[in-house]
Order: sequence, then C-alpha cells, then structure tokens
Amino acid sequence: MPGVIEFREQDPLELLSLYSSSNDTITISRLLRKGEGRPYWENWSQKIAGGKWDHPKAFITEEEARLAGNFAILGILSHEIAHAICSEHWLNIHGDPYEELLADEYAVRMMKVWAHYKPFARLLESYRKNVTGGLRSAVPQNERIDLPPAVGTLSELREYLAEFKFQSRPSPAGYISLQLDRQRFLLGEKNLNSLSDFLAREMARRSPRHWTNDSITLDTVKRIEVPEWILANANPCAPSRFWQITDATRRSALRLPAA
Amino acid sequence: MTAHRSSRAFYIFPAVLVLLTSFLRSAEEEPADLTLSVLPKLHEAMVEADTRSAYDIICQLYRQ
Repeated sequence: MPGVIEFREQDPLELLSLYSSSNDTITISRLLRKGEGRPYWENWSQKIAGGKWDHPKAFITEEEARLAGNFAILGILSHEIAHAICSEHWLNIHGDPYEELLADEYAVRMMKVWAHYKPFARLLESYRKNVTGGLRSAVPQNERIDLPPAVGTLSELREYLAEFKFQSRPSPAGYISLQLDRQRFLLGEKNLNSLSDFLAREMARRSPRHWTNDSITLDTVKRIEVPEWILANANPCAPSRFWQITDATRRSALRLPAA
Repeated sequence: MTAHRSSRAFYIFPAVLVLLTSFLRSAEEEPADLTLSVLPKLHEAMVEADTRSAYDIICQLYRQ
C-alpha cells in the first residue's frame, strides 16, 4: 500500500480526470493560462452539449471564463483527492456511482470552505448557476442523466445512489451530467455538516478492522477510540500513513517481544 | 409604566435570542483561522495557474 500519491498534469482539453488506486496517481487538467478560458468551455460545450451551450453569455470576458474554468478544475481536483482519501481509508462501501457521490460530498464541502473568501464565493455562485445549471441543462435530453424529482433530501440521495445501477454504459455526456446534477443538489443543500464531521461520520460506518501484511490499518468506530500511541501524523494526501503502524511499533507499544 | 417596560422586553428578548443564535451558528460554521489564511494563497495559485501549489494547498485544507 503506497503512502504517496503521484500527481500528474494533463492538457486542459482532456475531458476526464481520474484517481487510480492501482498505481496511486491523480491525473488532472493543469490550471488555465491567459487566453485559455473560452477554448476550455467551448471544448466542454462541444463534447457534452453538442456545442449548444452559450458559454460566452455565461462568462462575459475571457478572463472571467478562465477563472471560472480554474475554479471548476480545483473542484475536480478536490473530487479526485477525495477518491484517494476514500480508497485509502476503506470508505467506499458501495460501488459507482455512490463512490462518485462520496467524492462529490467532499468536493462540495471543500468548495463551500473556499467560499469564506469573497472572490471564491462569487466563483462558487457562478459555478452553481452556469455549470451545474446552464451547461448541464444544455446536455441533450437523450443523453442526460438527471436525479429523479422524488430525491428531495440528502439521505434520499444517498439511498438512491447506493442502489443505482446504470442500465447501459453511459456516454461521457450522461456520466458528467449526472455528476453535475449531484453537485447541483449538494450545493443547494443548506445543512451540510462540516468536512471534518463528515469524515468522522464516514469512518464510523466502516467495518471494524483490516489487517495487512506486517502492518495494521485500523478502521475505527470513532476517532476518539483510537489509542494515542497508534496515531501517526495525519496526511490525507498519503492516507495509508494515517492509521498505519508497523508491527515493530505495535509490539513495542504493547511491550510484546520482538518478532 | 410597567406595561411599557414589558412590551419593550417583549421586543428586545427575541432580538437578543436571534443575535445569540446567529453568533453561535456562525462560530460553529466558520473554518479555523489557519484555513482562512490559506484561502488567499489558493486564490493566487488559481489566478497564476500554478497547479502544483493549488494541489498542495488543497491537500493542506483536507488535513485541517
């Protein structure tokens, strides 16, 4: 279980970013430089909305488009880091798309933290209106996947996505439109708990323990129940190090003879 | 006079309650100072298109 996540940048015109648990990498679009805002959104419009999304109307200037694009990229980056955290902390207790919901729950909470800084607050509102609203709505009906109207509360959303299965392999447009609809829902949710409370709650849902080779990965019921001697310095970007101790450390702490 | 006093209290008490509740709520939801202090740096990284710095700052925020 590697402790370091490799970070790879890709061209911003690549549509999909990803976290790979098999080789612990996050591949993400690099941030947009001057003049790259409009081409970025035009690419999204062409690839998922058949060119029907009027992004120059949503983002009046090139610089506004660029910053909106960079805000979206940071949101996607937070989503991919969340996949890494969930994977390494054994938090993925259902399949896709629940795993995607979980990563979105982290990312949206993260975006709401950013919004305590005024320039980010404006970008978040623009993202909510123009991307989870305008761009998503421009995806053709025959490809778009929306949450059903019956899903009204966060617990209903979680229950729905825990059971949800794609009828057939969705197109990129369908997959992305569902992600945007999840984010639309979460951004509109007034009573989201904090990022740390959310992590504690998710940890409490896991099975008790996992043993791996010469180390122990603890899945605790509550963080407070973890004995002090077992806590290593936390680094969510290298989450396996967080709950992991070597057998030698455990033996030493429990005053057991060396193996 | 008494009636006048109690009617004033009638208005003041809920107002104090609302202010107190709102203060407690904001204290609960406001992120730590350390978090707030890195947000301008994250914004700067975003404006400067410095992807690597933005990644490091977001990791730092997750740690907090």
